[in-house]
Amino acid sequence: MSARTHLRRLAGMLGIAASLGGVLAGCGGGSSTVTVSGQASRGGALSATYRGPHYALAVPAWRPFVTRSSTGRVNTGWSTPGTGNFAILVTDDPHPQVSLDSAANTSAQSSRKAYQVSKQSVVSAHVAGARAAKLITDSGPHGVGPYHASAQNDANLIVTTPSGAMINVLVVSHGAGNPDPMSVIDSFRLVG
Amino acid sequence: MRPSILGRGRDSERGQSTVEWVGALLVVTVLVALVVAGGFPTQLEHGIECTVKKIIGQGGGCTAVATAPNVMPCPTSATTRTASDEFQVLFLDAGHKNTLIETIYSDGRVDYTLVDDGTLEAQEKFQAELKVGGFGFNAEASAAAGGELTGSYTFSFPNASAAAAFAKAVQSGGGWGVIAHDIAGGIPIAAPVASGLLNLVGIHGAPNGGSLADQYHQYLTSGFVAAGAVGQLKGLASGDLGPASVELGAELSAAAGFREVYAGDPSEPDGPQKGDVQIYVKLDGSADGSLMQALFGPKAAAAAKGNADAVITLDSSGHPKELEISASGNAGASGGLGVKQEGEPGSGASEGSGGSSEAGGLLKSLDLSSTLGAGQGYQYTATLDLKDDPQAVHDLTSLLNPDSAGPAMTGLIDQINTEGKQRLQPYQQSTSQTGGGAALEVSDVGAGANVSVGTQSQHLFAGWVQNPGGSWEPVICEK
Repeated sequence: MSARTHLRRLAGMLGIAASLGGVLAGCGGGSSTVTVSGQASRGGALSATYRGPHYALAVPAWRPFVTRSSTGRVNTGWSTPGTGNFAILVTDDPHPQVSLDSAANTSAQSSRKAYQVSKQSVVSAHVAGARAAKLITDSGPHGVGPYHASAQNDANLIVTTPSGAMINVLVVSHGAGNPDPMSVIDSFRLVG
Repeated sequence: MRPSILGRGRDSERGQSTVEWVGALLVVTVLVALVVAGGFPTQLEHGIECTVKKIIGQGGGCTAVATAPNVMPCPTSATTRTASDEFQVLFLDAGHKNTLIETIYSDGRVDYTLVDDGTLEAQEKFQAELKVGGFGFNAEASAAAGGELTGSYTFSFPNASAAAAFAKAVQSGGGWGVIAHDIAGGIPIAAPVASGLLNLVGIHGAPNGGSLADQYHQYLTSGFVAAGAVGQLKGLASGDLGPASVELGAELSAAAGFREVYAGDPSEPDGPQKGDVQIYVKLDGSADGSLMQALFGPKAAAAAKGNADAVITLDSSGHPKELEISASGNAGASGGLGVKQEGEPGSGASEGSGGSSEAGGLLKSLDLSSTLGAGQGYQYTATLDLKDDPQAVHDLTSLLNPDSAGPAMTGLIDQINTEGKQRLQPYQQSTSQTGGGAALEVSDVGAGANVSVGTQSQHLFAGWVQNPGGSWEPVICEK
């Protein structure tokens, strides 16, 4: 199955989940499971492939920023130069102190407060080689700032690896003209 | 003439260079062809890919930078609770005058700041401020700057379950006031302020505190000391214990206390670090006015309301390190933020020259009017690096002098706008005042007729950030 087909199915399922669920209070996880293909779409703004220690994904050709904590947690991200209205943040935590469900709940709750999202969906995700994964999507006008009148779509994939590490891929898009956050998510794959 | 060894060497190197260049060009040509054709392998190492894109002019290079421009943990909620003697609120216990500020971040971190209100007057002021919605997450800083704190501690927990475990343990240990001394008792303290810290906090030990101390030391990130610490503060600020600016030291020595940092925030490597000392100062009214004008422009500033505090961070040797100016406001400020900014197209006002003198203020590019209304306000924070910046230290000194505070604030804001970092977070606020033990999370432990519990909750939006030399950008909350 092509990446495009995977993505269409993924987006369709998420749209259904979001419209049925609206903003899911508590967000313990939905019954749906989506599949992340791990195949990058060719062309467009996501023209580069980033390969981290345990993962790879499609990213724009911007300078990434990298921060490392004393516990070994590594943040790698990309933000639109000049405007910052589209960002990807990948957190690779080798020793997570929270469960997958707890991380998903925290993410969902944070988005509801920080961005006042109008639609939210939390579903299980299938990522090849992963122990488990959750996908959180937020959408709707977030209500504040220069982009308040523009559509906004955010996506957050949280993956636990067989070794117990947790990888959190967060894509936030304010305003129009940005790459589709789901294209970034769908390109994610675990690598040896 | 036989060529010299050096000459032969050059000749051979010249030949080698030619071969290398031909090879390099061949490699680059192949890679460029792959990229232009869009057919490069998806697993191509990012570094190689970025180098190629730099060569052919796509993307401008991909060298990683150390810090994120607009991605950071966001405080998403802050709940401030204060109670009278007869009530226990969460783990604030009866018989002590304490306020608890619980801050939850987007990455799941939870901070508990436990404030020892010290005096009945301070307690009453906290209650009154909470009634009118004037404190919130600024409660501790405002009280510290105003000289109303006896002491406080901040604990940072990596997630909600760790924070809940602490709260449960404190409750079972008899409540915060009973065990606080024992929890803090084993903390190693930096040399300049080593003596007297614990006794100054004014709280006493209890039988169950010992085991808690070992368990929770790791989470204690900073502590504030006030009365009785003045001698140490004067020494630190005036240069007896470190070479702080003499004129700045003279101004700082009048402060009512200081906070010692036990552990820096890993997510803010440029922020306060272990061993640093922070001094809280309430700014003069003219400085407040200048700040409002700088933020909102002359016209909107008349409607905007807000109080500003300054926190000056010194390193453990007394060197000025960072200035943080914070201001928050509520209902009145939202009116100010909603006013159409002068200097915008169609307003009829002339454009200023930039910085704080620009009509419309620093925040003119942020369209906040669509969302801010009743019950909403803003939190503004500006930080300026004081290291190796004598002009900034001089301006800060002037800021602390009431006679020159207003113009000094204008100068500092201009500096912050070009060299500093600014952040603005709108928030939605609710306040409740409860008597008789009916409030959520309140357990009646012997309620009397005069019981009173004040709770203020603030939900914060992600907001915007302006990094040094950059433009305002929406904040992406780290999770």
